[in-house]
Amino acid sequence: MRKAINLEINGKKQALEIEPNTLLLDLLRMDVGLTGTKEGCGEGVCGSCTVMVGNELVRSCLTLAMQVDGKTVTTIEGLADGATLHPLQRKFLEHGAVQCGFCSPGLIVTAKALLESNSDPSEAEIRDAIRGNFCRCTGYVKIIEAILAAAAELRSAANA
Amino acid sequence: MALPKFDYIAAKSIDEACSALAANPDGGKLIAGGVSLLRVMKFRIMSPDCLIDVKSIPGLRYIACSKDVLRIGATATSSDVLKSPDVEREFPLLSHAIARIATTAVRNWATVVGNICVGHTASDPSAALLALDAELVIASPSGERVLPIGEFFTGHMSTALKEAELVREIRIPLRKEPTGMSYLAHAGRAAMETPLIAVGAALAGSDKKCTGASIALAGAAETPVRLSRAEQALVGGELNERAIQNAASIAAEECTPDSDVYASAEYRRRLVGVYVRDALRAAANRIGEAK
Repeated sequence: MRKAINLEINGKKQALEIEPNTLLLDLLRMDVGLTGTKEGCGEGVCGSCTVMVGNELVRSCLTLAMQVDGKTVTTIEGLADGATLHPLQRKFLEHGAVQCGFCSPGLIVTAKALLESNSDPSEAEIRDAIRGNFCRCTGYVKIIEAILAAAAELRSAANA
Repeated sequence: MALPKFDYIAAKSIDEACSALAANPDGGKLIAGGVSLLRVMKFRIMSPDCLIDVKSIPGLRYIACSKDVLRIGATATSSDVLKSPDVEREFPLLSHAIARIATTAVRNWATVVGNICVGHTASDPSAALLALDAELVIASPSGERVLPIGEFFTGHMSTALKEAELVREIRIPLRKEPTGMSYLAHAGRAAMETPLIAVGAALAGSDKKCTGASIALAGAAETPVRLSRAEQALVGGELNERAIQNAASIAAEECTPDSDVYASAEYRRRLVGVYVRDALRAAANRIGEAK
């Protein structure tokens, strides 16, 4: 039996009726059409499906949508300001941190959460923050460079 | 991967959750973060008819520290426990164990009570709580009982929870004496891996005389276990390298690991000897730093 759920996704209120067995990942991709969030392993290990609920990162592939009733969700689609990319997105492109791109949405959302709690992370702190996001193309070096560059840009914008 | 179909109840009180469990004796299952449960449901290892949400019960997401006991509520997340200065100060062993769990995105949603209720033999928080003599407050329609965590684990993925019971709270007694603690784990890779074996150790007293020893293992038996013979070998004696080596040898003999696709029983037994030794050394060194 379908149940009613109300949530706010990337600033937009959504009133939906879903089956209780709907995962947050499938609600985002299939009910709302936000296909930026990817399903990789489907068991919480690879990090491709990472989104924010409130201010916290979660694995949308292991999150029951009914448990997100009344909460706010931020996905990769919520980062850009219209046609202007978020600095993290821009730095990922500039540094070649995107190859096949499948892990990028989860990595960028994870990096955003990191930079919100720590505006000047060390390389070691970045490595720890992204330990649960697997990238099989880049070898992580370019991803870390991109996050460091985005952090520096966001800091200088905040001080300007 | 889609989930099998089920009904969902957002419980608003412990009584409501217990009643819903009693009303669904064959197919009702509690869900907190669901990180473990949804995974096994995706693989059709479990297909409950009805999930009863405990995260929707108000007032259970807390970590409270008094002068005798630290209490962790049923819906406190792993991240909540990791961020707690009380836990870091009183039980660094538990903080270190929880820091090992997966990654932030998992710890933010998963609960510590949920983790132990899965009953996984290689659960990091289970071994840590076992080393710390934690007790569980278990609610049911007929009232509450308090169970030492050592009596909670009955097999891999199986616990002493009876029909319509719910773990409401974890209680950890505060240490009266200066206690050094350590938690060490061995996993195949650095991140996102269940440990092959893990050791939680707590030593009280001084290097002249050990007055208390707890050693708990994860991944080295059907359930998380305490190593009582190795503990007894330490208590009453000096805490020197010889005593530690001796206790580590006893630990390797005393444990009862199984072979699986990840490691043989013999390899795990060797790991136990090495990791118990290292955890005891670290715990002994930290007694002086403890309060």
